[in-house]
Amino acid sequence: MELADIGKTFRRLDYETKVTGRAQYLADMNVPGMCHGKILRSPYTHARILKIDTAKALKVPGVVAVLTRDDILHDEGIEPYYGPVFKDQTIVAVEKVRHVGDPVAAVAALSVDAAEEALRLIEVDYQELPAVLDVHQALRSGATLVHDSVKLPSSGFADLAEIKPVEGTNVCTHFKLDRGDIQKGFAEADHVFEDTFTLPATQHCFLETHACIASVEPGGRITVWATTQNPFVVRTQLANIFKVPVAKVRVIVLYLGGGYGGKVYPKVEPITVALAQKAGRPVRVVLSREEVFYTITKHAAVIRMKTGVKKDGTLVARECEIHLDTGAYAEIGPRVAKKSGYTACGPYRIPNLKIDSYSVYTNKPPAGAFRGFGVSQSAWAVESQMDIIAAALKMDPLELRKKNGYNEGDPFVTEETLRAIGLKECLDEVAKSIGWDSNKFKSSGIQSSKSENIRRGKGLACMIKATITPSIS
Amino acid sequence: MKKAISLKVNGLERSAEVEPRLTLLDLVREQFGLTGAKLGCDIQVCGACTLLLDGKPVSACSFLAVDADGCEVLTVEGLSANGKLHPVQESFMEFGALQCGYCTSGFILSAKALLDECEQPSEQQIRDYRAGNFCRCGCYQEIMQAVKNVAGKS
Repeated sequence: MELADIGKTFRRLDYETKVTGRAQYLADMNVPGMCHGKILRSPYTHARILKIDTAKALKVPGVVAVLTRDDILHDEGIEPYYGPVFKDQTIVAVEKVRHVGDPVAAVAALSVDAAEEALRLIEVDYQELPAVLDVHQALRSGATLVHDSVKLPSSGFADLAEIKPVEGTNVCTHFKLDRGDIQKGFAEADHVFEDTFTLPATQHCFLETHACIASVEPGGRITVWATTQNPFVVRTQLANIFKVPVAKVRVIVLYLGGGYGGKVYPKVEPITVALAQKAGRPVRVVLSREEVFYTITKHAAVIRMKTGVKKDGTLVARECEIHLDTGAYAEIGPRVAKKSGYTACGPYRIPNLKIDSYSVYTNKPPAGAFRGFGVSQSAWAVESQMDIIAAALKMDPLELRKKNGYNEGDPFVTEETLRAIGLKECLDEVAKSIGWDSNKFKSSGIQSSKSENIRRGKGLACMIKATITPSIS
Repeated sequence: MKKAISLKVNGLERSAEVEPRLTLLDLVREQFGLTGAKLGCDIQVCGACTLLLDGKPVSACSFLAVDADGCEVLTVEGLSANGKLHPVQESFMEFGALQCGYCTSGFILSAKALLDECEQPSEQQIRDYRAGNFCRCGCYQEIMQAVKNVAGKS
């Protein structure tokens, strides 16, 4: 590709395969000898598992294998605990279930019908426990703990090496970023704005659900066809779980029907491999849409943002507390907390900062990467408050952003020098392209159209997304 | 208790023995090996399973195979003939109206059904017709351009 090709449209190499319906995705694929896997899931938000009885399930014609915690705990060839940051997940629940939908057992059978029939016949005795269902409940003193203790890996992502959960609490991660003198900053401010922003969990809703085909050879070689955005992480995690060298694990990714962060870390691969190992033949697991809702979400968030501003619009201080609802398992929650924290300052020069970003365990499906790793949550709060500030100061929201926005060579919150920014140029281009009228903001704050019945608003926002520097390895 | 059905699929006479509860989607994917149509939601909301039945779009995930007895079914695989792609397929490629491709078969068939019914649809008609197809990669603008492009040429 030449520099002269920038700005041109090219036909992507996979277009013809896709528009003719010939592209093969996981659920389109069969391997010889394959049987079908289905997962039994907890109906409770939080409960101890007293007993699991699979006798009736094993008698269903066509059932090849039933997997429970006994298989996970008593097989020396399986390391029960895994996770991309903390080892707080198990292939199926071991002592307790921590959210509705938490996997409890799995069945491999010759047909999907037989597998579902067997699931219905697995008997599980639960003892319900009190549950924490949002960050407020989870953080109350004396709140039920989602995890009594959390195992840390011996090695992992370099950017998360120093992160540990806070013992005896539901705080999965606490990330702090302080700069300057926050009290002095607020003292210098002419106005202080304090707002709390709340976002719900949302779903990636990629049209293709999570799915996996796994085949385990007698010599221990594992082959996995996975709906994953990140085959290398899946490969390493499977090698760790099944105690084989990485060279013995092969992860194949076909065409992927969307991911957006929801297919980045192990999902159904470990349970499919465990089933395939027990069944002695390949197994395919395809999640239903309902099951995807139990598997991964975006972090719900409560963000309290307190910002000190001079009367001319200069930002001088920001104190921010971000509580991210990471659900029952950490997944990549620690990195989400870090990135949310790094970006709570926005792309603005604010000399005095006190940022506390938390990922909090709750008895809900795990939350993870979602189109921006916690940055979309913090950016929404930052930019919403910028508009609140602009309205209060009767200032053009565009001018407020340009006044405080990074210039070439400014330091980021972590002191690295920022280069090739172009923020103000972009803001000007955006404003021009939507016909931004700066004068309108001095009086009303809303740009309305001529019609009485239709009101049209215009807004603009900018953000900085923290990349993972220096490296994750 | 299986029932014998006969239907035309992409112009070819096909027959099958099916359980009454088998969906048209499962028939087409599992028994006829035409996997272009996908299962997305199983509740006829997302449109990934769209097939044309006697020219009209149906959500095959919620349509019984037995009800397709005697009908003509068109899948995305049946759109190209003699190595030549349908204009909607060509237009989707020209305008980059797809990313992951999972929703693509559904959108293409819905667009074909619209354009067969109405050669020059308005933007609102195009919006109405494609309301039953979701794209989570966010190609709605390109899809609109692609469909308008085919409409403009007829």
